[in-house]
Amino acid sequence: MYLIDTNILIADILSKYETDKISRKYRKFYSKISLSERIITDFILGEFEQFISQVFPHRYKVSHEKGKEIDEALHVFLSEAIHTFTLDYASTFTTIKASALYGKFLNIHPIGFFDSLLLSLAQEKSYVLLTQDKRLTACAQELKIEFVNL
Amino acid sequence: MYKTVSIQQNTYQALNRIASRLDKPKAQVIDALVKAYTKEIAKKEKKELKEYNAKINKLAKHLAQTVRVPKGTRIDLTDIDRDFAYLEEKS
Repeated sequence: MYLIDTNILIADILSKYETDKISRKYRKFYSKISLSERIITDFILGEFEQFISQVFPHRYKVSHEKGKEIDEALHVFLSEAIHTFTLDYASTFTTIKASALYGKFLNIHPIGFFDSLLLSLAQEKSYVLLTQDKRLTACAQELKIEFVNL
Repeated sequence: MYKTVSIQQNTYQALNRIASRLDKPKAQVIDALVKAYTKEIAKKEKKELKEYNAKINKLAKHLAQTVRVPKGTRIDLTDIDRDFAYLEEKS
């Protein structure tokens, strides 16, 4: 079972733009994972939605008038993912553990709290982490969490 | 590995009966059942994955055609945490 990070979902919906080589490599791997083996969480969907609706237009200088098209595509993508993938969430235990991990890596290689939640959940449920974020995989390696290394 | 699973009393009895009949431990019976189910759903899942990928490809194509980025732009997702800083610039 693969715990899917935000950057993988972004690479999927933005696959028809010219993307970086690593994203293409990970997307190719992701496209072969069966739907029920893809684990997504509420917090990853939230981060994904914020990236596509707010960061993407601003970062890549998209016309402001295109907001509606982006929102519509987002709605279809989120709905498909929610109804076809396996959903999971951060429990109280996961969140407390994530807070400890956040503190642990603060002075080594700082990661965001979403990343801490992802690591905590992967560790708790023995999921294989699928992310192209090298900082996150470095932390996963340290915690002996299995991850995809392409 | 030990994991607790809650099952109905009659399901447990049926599992016990099958295990006794086959002279196998209950865990092995469960392993065999899961294996059989996995095989059964694999074909269906392959078809569903193909349909899903086609649907998302179509959606991604539509998005790229309607929402254009300046020519020559390459979407770089190697560090999206850095990209979130653009929200601060915006505000």
